[in-house]
Amino acid sequence: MSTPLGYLAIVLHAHLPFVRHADGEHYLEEKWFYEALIETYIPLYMILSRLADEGVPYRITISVSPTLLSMFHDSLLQTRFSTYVNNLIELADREVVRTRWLPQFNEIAQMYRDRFQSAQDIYWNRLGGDMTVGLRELSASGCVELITTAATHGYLPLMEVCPEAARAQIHAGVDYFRQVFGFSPKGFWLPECGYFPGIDRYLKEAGINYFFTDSHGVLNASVRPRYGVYSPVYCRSGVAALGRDMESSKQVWSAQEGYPGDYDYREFYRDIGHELDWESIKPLMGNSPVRMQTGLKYYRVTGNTDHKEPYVRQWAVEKAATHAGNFVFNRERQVEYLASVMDRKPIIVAPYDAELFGHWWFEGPEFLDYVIRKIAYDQNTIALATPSDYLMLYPRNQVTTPSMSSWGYMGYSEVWLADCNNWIYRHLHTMAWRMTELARSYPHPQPELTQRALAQAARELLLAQSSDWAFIMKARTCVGYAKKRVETHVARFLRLYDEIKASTIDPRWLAEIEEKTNLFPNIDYTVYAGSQASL
Amino acid sequence: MQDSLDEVIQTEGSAEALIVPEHKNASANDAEIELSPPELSHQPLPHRSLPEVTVFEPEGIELDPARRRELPILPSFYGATRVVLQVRDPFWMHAYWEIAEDMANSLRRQLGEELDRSNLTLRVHDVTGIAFDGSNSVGSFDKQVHPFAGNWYIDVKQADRSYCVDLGLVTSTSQFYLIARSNTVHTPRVSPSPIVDEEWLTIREIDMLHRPSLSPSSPGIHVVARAEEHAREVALGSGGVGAVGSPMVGLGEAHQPARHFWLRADAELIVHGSTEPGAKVEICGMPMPVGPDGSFSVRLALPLGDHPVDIFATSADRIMHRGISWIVSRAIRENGRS
Repeated sequence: MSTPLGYLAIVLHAHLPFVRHADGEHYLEEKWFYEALIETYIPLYMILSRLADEGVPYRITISVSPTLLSMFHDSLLQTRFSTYVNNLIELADREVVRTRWLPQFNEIAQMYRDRFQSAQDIYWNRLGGDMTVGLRELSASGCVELITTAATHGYLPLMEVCPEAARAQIHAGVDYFRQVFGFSPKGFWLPECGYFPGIDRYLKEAGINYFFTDSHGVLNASVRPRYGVYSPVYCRSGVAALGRDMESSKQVWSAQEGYPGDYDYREFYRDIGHELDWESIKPLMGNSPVRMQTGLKYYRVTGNTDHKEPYVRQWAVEKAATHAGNFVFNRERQVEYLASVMDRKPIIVAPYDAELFGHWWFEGPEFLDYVIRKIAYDQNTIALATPSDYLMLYPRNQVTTPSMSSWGYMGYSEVWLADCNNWIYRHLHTMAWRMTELARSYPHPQPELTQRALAQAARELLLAQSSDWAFIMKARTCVGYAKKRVETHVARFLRLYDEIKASTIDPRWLAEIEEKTNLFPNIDYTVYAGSQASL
Repeated sequence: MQDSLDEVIQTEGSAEALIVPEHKNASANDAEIELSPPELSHQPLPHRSLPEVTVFEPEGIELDPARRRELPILPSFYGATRVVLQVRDPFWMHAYWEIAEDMANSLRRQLGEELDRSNLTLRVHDVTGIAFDGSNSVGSFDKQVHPFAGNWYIDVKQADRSYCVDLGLVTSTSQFYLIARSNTVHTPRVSPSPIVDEEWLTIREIDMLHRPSLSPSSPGIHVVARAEEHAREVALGSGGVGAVGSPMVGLGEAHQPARHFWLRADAELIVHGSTEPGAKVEICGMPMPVGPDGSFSVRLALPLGDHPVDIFATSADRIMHRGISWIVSRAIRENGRS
């Protein structure tokens, strides 16, 4: 293979907030996790591991949030997921029978049954119920570079007034990654691509080599970056920043112009959960008295119309191949152009939410499969690379300071600092200041109970900071849940703070909330005391 | 709307009214502002006495009331006098504040009745490039804020500047009484930097020196020019760039909103029956589960047309057989009501 003219860095970011609720099975939010597993994580694993097994050369970067890793690891959620899939398989079985006189639907029902069965099979027989096993395997194959993100996906630009909290999000995220995978992550996904100048110093301190920003984070850097987003820049701390490429993003992301809206692809909103009679779908609804999606969807997008035609799997897969060809073709042209105006090989950074592939865009995993194969075998202009690969090739980079930015609506903090959610920062900041106060007043070592209460206070703070809560309040999807999550973690923290200071820690209650939030077992609360790397 | 605000001000026109009863969703900039009657209890609510929350109700879903417990109520404020400033985007900042009781009392002592004639104000200082000492700002302007708002959005004309706000009272004689000074923030740029003094280093060099080294002139001008266009789009929010970030609905269940009245109907056929316990039953060639009492049941989607239904049972010892066969039809009724 001849040397490529430039590189494409595909980055998949996988994240869900911590939605494990040990005290009951009626939490519909846990379903986010099960759906993501069966629709995105397992299919992506199957495709990526098959490519690796076949020896197809590829390199992609995957960031997995520590909250998601914790849930992957959790035996209670593993068991519940298994029940969830069994229910799906039963539903699909019944659907295969029910659709006997509807041959087009019958074929689709069989597809679902096969998918669910093979997902269940791979999940238990190959991964032992633990998705982290699959991630470790992909990493060991040399094809996937695993990176981490902030511990609970806290949105860092709104922690500027309590930088110790941002530092803790970063260190706890890196530490947990190390515990799970046994090696240190080289890259860091800034939650929502939220960057503000100076946060890179904490990344440096945590041993991170690179992170991503949205396009304008790098483009508006001062000093002006010579190559725009098509080459990394170094922050003064010595950490590399890579800016998102708009062109490749838009082709995949955009609801209007993007591939996922193609008429042959599966329609997301027409789900049998909303269409069959109640008795047939009830087993999938848990305790919910209202209808929800089941994941069995029989229609294709069809057009800009309410009338939907049945899904034809073969057309959809063929379309995914066509789109993959188009995507690769466009990257080739892009790289040819960039290489002609640059004195080094360009890198195109294309980050996506992992859940786009499979969950929102059903054919996304197949698209990715084709993209990887086409890049490997059908052309010589571009090659896949991770940021680490590129930085190895080009260790000398322009030094500048990226601009505060995010990949949210309008490019800054508007989503997370809106009328409907700005009330949370009064609490989150006070918690952070108090946590720093605690970390400084109670250095190691402390009596066991105090030590545990301090660790739990750190956990509650981290959980309250998940960017998801503010996002959900803004998106108005499950506002009640998000509010209650923030309120609960704030209330627990405040009680812990008072009890620690008054030496009146209630061991029974502490044990109870420890069990409820069983993530980050080894969290080091002293990280909140701060460090020399002040902002 | 305005009436209720005035009422609040009149009835609570004391120094205590300055203490912010934080109302979660109220923002002074929100057209739909709703102020609940202010609770001027100065003690944070005793959260310790409240039961721990364990049940979350998914939105719109009623769970068994017996399982529902009271939610924790968060304190409205934390007993400190402070104002916190955050950047929302290049042209907007957000400030929230809190005025503790002792500060309110002290203002009351200092100002007396003048307090009621004073306006709570955010004095926004441009402190770009200076060490702000309270009087040396590059420029400043006042935002009069509602005493109960607790937070406010502040728009600024220029991006890429440093700002600091003073929360204070402006008296009827235009004197400014400082209540609290915020942190300093820097708003982001909206366009590529005009500074082009390039510095190219390796990590090792950054770690070791931090000494600038100029590189040869730039061949990358096109790259940035093209990039500038994107940056403008992002800043102005034009086109689909906004949609690029999060194109789909959030995490929850989403429905396509119905745009017009609609009716959808379909039919299913339930075939059910019973036979001897232990017998095997096939319907249309498909083996059916038979309950311990010998009952069986299956749902079949019933499209338009004629459908043969063959039910065939075999005894547990495979010696006896019984069969029932139908034609089930579904057809459009002519002259139906439509």
